[in-house]
Amino acid sequence: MLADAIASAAPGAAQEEEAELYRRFAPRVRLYGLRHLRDAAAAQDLVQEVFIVLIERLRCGGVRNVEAIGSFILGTSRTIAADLRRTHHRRERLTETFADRTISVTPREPMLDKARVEDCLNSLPPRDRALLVLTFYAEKKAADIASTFEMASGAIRVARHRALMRLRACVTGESSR
Amino acid sequence: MTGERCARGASFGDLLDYWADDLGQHDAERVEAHVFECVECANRLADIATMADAVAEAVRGARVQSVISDAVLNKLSRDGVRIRTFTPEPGSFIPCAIWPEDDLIVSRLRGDFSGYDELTLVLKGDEGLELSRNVDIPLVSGTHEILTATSASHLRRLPSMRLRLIVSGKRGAIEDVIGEYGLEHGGAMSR
Repeated sequence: MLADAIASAAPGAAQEEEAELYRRFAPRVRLYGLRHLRDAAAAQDLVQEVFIVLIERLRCGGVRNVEAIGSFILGTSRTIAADLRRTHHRRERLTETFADRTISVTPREPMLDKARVEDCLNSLPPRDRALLVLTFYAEKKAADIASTFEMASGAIRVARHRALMRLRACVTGESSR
Repeated sequence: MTGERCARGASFGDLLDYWADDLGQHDAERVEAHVFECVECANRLADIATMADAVAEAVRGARVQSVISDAVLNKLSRDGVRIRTFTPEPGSFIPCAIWPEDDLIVSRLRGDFSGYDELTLVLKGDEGLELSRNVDIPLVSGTHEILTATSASHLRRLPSMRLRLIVSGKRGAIEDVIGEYGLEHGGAMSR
């Protein structure tokens, strides 16, 4: 268990385990940040700050239940994201203070062929295309789209799911369900 | 993102609803807790985020042809997309040209589009050559206006020609032309 190995090692001795923990969870913290902070740079700041706290707490034995490390990381993400939202200045100060103590492992981010995405998006049925544009560009919720499309909110969510599956199937070349 | 549920039973639909901010706080927190415990769902959520970002980027880059709403149009404008709008009247032609600074061309088509089972938008050259056909377009700007967005770079490739945008509607088995809107496409202009 990674967290356990870090917690039981001398401070800083389990660097490989720390890097692996980062690889596994940094993408999730980044997603959490993107979802709640709606900004890629802020999400990346969140990742750094969460891992500073996490590694420090693990090294000094400050995580009570290392078995539930995911839960600890999520809780830390929530706390720090709330702070980031409340005080922009605090984010900048923490980043400056701890910038030299971050782990230099870049989380893998999925890459897509942009031209292919555009071709696939333009080849979708007009309703699917409009639904994805309204959801992911205009950031409209299903209830808002439902009133526009004169459909039930639940039906919009199902249609959106199918539209995204069709887009993904086209982009990846997999068959859509 | 290839199955409907992960091995632990969480649904892909919930992940998408979470990402689109369509879950209540309790359900959103449940999904978050699951994602931090489940690698499969973390990967699926990353997949959704990547696709969502790619869609937004394609729209922001004015590379998507779609019917849009005024809300989308306003957001595009705020994002710095340079938009040229034409409002052709039914049954007549108006001059239109694409200038070097244009990113997106929007046509406002006005008419009474209410009460149809299905609306189709066809773009034709004046000699009848069909350039595009969009079947079952949604009315995202109310029942009396259709906004169509087309990439300026796409239109620049067309030679000077007369274009017709034809909106037809189906009621049962009967299809009627609701409006024909003419554009005197002057081709790609330079200043």
